Amino acid sequence: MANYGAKVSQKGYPVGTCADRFLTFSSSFPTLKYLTPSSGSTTIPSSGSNYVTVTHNLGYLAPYLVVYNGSTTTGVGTSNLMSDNDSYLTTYMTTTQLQIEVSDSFDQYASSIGDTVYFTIYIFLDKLESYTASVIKTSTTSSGSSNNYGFKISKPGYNVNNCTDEQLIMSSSFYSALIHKKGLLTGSSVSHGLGYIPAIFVYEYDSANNRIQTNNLSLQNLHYVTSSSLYYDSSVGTGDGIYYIIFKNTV
Amino acid sequence: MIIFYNKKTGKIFSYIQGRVHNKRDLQCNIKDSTIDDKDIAKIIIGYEETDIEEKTTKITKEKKQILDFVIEVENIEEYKGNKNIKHNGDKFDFMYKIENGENIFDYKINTKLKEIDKI
Amino acid sequence: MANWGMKISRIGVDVNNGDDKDMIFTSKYSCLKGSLGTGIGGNKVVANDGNTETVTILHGLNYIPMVKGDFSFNNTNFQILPYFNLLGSLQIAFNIKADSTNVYLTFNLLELIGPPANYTIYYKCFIFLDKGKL
Repeated sequence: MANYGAKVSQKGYPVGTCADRFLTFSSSFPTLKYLTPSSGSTTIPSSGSNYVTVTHNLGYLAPYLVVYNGSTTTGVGTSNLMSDNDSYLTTYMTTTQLQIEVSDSFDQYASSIGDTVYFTIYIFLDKLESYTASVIKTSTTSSGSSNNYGFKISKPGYNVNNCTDEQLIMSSSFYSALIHKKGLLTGSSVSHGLGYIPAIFVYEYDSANNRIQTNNLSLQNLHYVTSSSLYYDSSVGTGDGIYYIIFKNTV
Repeated sequence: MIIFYNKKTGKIFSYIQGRVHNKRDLQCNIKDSTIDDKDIAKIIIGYEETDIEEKTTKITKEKKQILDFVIEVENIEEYKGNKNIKHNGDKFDFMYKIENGENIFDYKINTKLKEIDKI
Repeated sequence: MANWGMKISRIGVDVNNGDDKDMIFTSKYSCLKGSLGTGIGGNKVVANDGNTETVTILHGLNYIPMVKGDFSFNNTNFQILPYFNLLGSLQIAFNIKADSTNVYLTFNLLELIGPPANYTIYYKCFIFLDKGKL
């Protein structure tokens, strides 16, 4: 059956023959799409926890990224992905909400009780259901024009001719995260078959509460990735598996 | 590909992947707290994008059947594009090796000859 | 106002009436985009003396980007940064953060019982064009 579609390679790679991971876009591989990013803040309590809650109402578990931007004490000029300065963030995603937990020990060596802490939040539209992309091409070739052909699409409201790179939805000049495989891993490993170390997202699955979560104690030792597989240690943590996304891209 | 190395020892400590680099890539500096800034050097393998416009001619050939004859038609396309500067074209094979899975840290820079040698 | 754009659906999904989430791509929603080539890799020697060693990357974006990193002790098994853990008697604190000028990868190892030693840490880092702070 004929394979219709479109693909765009990164600059310098021949689109006809380059490996999948050197594509900026391909109709064969889904991209990770995000809803409008949001900001959130709360204070570090003297005991217990405060929460930043974002209601998404997607009706399913979706991947997300939370960036910690700092506190009253540290200032707000930084981004820490999924962590404060000394620990992984504790976050929970249900089918309707994302919650960021801020306990009395949040960012304990850099911030203080009573500080306001700030976050930037990305929630993706894509479901975490099982999916495996085909592996179309694996090795790359030498030929390739250095000329910059391609396409770009700006975000709504921005002029594609003069907007900044960050104001683009997608551009063939910059590569985007193409999904290779995703799903729920409850066994000890899942093979990805890419032959190199790919970029990944992982979240611990809590089936009793139908949610995905991250926290310092479990996520550190739950997993690691090699050039052949993603590994999971079910003896660590409290969950029932990890939801994962493996990208075509290397990190 | 942009490789950052210690120019005293030739040891590669970091690299930026890619074949065509824009201004931002080229202005990037990577520092290692255990290496003096003055001992850090970089080598570019690939193309550097510029804003310089140049006329480019692209020639393609196509075979066509006309009656009993097969003729070759040459299409000449002239267009204006941005000039890209090629850096270290003799090292492109090394770049392809790394893209195809070889470990870049198995190599070092020969600081005298400006070559890349396997350790 | 007219809604111009493009979308491509997954195999088996009708592009005319499929859900946005089932699109391979739709111009309605942004994708994560990479800056600085197609990724950065490196290695760093870190002593287990409790001193923090840093790799600093000038990103040139003039705003605070989102950054993602991974590390490995053997260049084979990679784990996501940050990593704060106690492995045996080795206390590990590895982190990645960015401001509007640089990305910082910090590595701190403290051996609580055993002898001094140096470790080679392999890292990979991805700097997004997407903002780390709105």
